[in-house]
Amino acid sequence: MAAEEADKPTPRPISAVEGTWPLDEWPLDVQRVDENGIDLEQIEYQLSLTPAERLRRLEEFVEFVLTTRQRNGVDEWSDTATS
Amino acid sequence: MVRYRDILKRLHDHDVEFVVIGGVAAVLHGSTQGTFDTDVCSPLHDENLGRIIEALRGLNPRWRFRADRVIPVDSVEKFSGFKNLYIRTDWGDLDILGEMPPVGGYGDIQGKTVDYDLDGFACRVIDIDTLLTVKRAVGRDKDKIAVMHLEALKRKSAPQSRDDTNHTT
Repeated sequence: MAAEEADKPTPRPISAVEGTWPLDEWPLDVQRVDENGIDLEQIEYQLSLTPAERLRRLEEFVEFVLTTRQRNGVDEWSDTATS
Repeated sequence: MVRYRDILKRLHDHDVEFVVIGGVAAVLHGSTQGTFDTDVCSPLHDENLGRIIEALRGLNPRWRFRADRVIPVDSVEKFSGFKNLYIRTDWGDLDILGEMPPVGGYGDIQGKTVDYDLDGFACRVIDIDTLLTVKRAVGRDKDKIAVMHLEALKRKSAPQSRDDTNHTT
């Protein structure tokens, strides 16, 4: 492989029209996932938090779901019986 | 009001012997997978049961699978022989497991935990490798997903030697 070819950036999947966004700003619209589809950006964000902050996020998430269910007449704990 | 951290603090403040396991443990390690209850592994001998009951006092504890039944908080004898306690409280659900196959009971997970500071108190949490062992053994669909999250976390926490990233739109 020629040296100049090796220096070329690896083609990346990007849906922006060519020339509208510089490649070094990639990725803007592409989710980074591992082979199982786990979102690595979210994992990295979680790891940037303290354990207490992670737990608080979980509490906020569960609170949001329960409140939404309650407001819409869905049994709040309907799917937790076998968890 | 869901207050999992405060439930754990209650257990801690009442000297309950326990280790956080399950989905909350995964979240504390960094998992993004949500869960609706707090699972802990705890020895269910009389002394510890007494502490658990005291910790739950005032939280309106009910049996999770019979929410119409209030948990008696007057005597530990009523819990004699129980292997697990599935409890609903005003602060959220709390599952207290006496055993956690295939790892075993509370005594068996000593040395397989990490301490996390939860804003003012240290909480013992099952380590990622042991949690992975449990999730793989239980093997339900949701456990398989949990395994994927934990493996991704392990890779992220370990030094990166290769690009293990895929991309999807």
